Amino acid sequence: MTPLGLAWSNLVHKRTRTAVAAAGVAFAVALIFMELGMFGGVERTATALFDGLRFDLILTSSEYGDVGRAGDIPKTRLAQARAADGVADVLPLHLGNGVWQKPAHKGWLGVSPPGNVGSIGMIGVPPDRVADVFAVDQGRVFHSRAEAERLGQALARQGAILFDRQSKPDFGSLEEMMAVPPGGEDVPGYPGFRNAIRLNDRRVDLVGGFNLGSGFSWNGMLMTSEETFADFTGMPRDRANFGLITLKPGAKATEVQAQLKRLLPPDVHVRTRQEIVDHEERYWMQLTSVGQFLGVAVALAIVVGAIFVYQMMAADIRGMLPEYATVKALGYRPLYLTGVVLWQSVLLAVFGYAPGLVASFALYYITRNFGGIPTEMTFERTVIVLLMTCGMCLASGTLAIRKVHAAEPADLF
Amino acid sequence: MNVPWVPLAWLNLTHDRVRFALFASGIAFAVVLMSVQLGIMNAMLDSNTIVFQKLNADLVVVNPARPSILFRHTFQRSRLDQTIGVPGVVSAHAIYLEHELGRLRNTDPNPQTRGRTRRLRVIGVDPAAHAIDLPHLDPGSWEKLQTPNTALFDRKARPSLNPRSPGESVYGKLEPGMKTELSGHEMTLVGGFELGFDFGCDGTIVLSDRTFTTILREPYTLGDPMADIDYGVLRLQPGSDPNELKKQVQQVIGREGDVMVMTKAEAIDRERNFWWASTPIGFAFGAGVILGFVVGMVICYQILSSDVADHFAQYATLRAIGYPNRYLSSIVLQESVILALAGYLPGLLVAWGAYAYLTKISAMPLTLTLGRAALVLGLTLVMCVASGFLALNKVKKVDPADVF
Repeated sequence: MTPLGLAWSNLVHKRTRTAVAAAGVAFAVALIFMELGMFGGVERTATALFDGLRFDLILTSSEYGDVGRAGDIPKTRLAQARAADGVADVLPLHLGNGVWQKPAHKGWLGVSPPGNVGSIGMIGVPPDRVADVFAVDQGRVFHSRAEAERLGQALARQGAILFDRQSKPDFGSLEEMMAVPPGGEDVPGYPGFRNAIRLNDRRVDLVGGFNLGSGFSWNGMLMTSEETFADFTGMPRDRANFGLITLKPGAKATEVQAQLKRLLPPDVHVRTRQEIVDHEERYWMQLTSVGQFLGVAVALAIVVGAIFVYQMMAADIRGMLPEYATVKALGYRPLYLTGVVLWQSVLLAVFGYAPGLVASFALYYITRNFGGIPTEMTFERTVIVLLMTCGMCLASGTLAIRKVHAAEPADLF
Repeated sequence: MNVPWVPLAWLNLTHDRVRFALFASGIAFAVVLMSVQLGIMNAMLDSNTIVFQKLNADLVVVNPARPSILFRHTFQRSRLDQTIGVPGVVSAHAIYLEHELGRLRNTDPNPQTRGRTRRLRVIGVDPAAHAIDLPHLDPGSWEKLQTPNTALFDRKARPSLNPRSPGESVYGKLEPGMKTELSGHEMTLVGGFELGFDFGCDGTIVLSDRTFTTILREPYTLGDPMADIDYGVLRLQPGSDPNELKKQVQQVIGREGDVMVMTKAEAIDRERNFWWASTPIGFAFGAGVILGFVVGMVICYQILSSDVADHFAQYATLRAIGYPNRYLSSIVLQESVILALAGYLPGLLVAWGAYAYLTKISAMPLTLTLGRAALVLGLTLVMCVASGFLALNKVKKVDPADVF
């Protein structure tokens, strides 16, 4: 019998023991996936907004820290930039936040009363240019250009807002909130509560939804016209947080960027898409405590996972010592036994990895939809964790082999 | 049966010292994982409540519509003055706050190399009131703050990332005697304290209430610029019950519903809960605690069930002698408690070191309070004992006939 064959038979024969060991490996795999996923969520937080916007170059304040602390610039800078060669258009974008009254929510446990408040992000845009500011396509911020234009028209009315469908669920579901009448409604079972759509303690008019996604900067997002934005946040009407520059066909981004840098005063920065995304990722991964701490959590998960896998493997092999002693007594060489143990490690790694990966998809779903952290499984991550699992199992197998070699055939009796 | 008591659980586990150490280290790692995740979560939430923690207050008065310190809902100062009439209230002081309008010019005197003017948190208090305990405040600072247009600065404001100015804050070099501008008004820094940065702001300066309202309220409000305050800070007679007085004060000033009275602890909790609900921090690190718990439970189950398997013959002998199943069960549960304690102590020690290290690299204080250490101990015990109960199934299968 080949070492692989024996390893396989060993595992299949002791099904319960194998299942326990594989479950152990699966837990370690899920732990590592989870922490990696949340670490990746920080990266996604950094880029989610910019991925949803259409621009070739972007104007920011020189104070710009991250999307949560963007700083503002005079709108005249946008006009100045518009005059540069190769620039097709420059659009303003405002970013701020407000107090969102979480609406009544019909869940599994019945109706929860309204009343809790949370901090919600707000994007202000020129309503007639919504379709030019955001990416429009299937699966993007708006499904189509027509939809973006229609919702933009609705936004032009003072006090009208759009709600991000991917906001954290306790901010409300779009369908439920759209059904709330403009004057508010009573909540069954909670006399005295009034369910209404409120921002900064004022009624707002919910006219539709978009898809952007939340992250560590905000748990929910609203879109408004520039006018409504200024009204609710108190931002002066002659300032904006970003200038989104689109270029004429054939214009080179780096050339226009150099020209704009000469043209504009030092209170604004001109960045390419790649530069702002890199800046944002660096900021979140290295400079914020969230990024640093989740990095630590990933390292910790790997260490604990490795120790955990070792415990499982050692216990599994200890349990099989009599079998190994028998094999030895039959005259098989130590090398053969080493092969058996290592194959067994790899098989256990695979048996544990598969359910661990499946569980991680579920955990990611929960994290995305209930935790408000944009976790997404990537192919690289699945491969890296698979290799890591095999590595951990092989290492612990190698450590455990010493015990096998110490197994005396005489121990049988 | 009347036999001398033998610490069988202890002997079973420690019979093989190396294995016992290995077992304990397995549990210890779960403890480290849980404590570090818990520590990070608390540090991130704590950093947002720092102003409340440092209030020299027994009771805090606030506009109930204000969800968090970062918002702007104020209430009338006259409400605060009414509280003085309540027996037991010794003093009532106003706290003014501003997060939007306060902009500090970088302190670099050379306009060519100077960094940008940046937003920061501005606190206005009566310098004689000691309404807020500023940590590590330079002595004599409160007296100096009586002079108009002076400010106390935060030595732990967010550090600058500019390689040309190492050790400086994002607001430039901050030292007593430096002159700068706050929202266009000249300002002299007269003393330093250590507070730190958080989600909402990069640093803090403290002004006298007069200076504060002159710069940040007068230009934007009609009428008395000191009339609207952000928080009210009440001190009570020593020995009085804050919860009881809270009710009384609430009755006197809260009938209109425009103010709410909280104990200091409630004010801290309210702020924490807001950040817990508004950011995924709680979820991200809470999930880590739960994962640590589950992993620890599986490790512990594995240890206990393999222990039962290894000592099957011995257990069977005990049964054959006449010990009841209950006795065997109690041994397994005792073992689970021993494992919990043996893993908890080294685990907590490692976690304590990790806290110190993380505090150093992140400039965010991870503190191990007695309550949090106790929480981890509780989690560890529950984790081990629960897996002990799971392992009991194995013990029930022990058959006296297995001896033969």
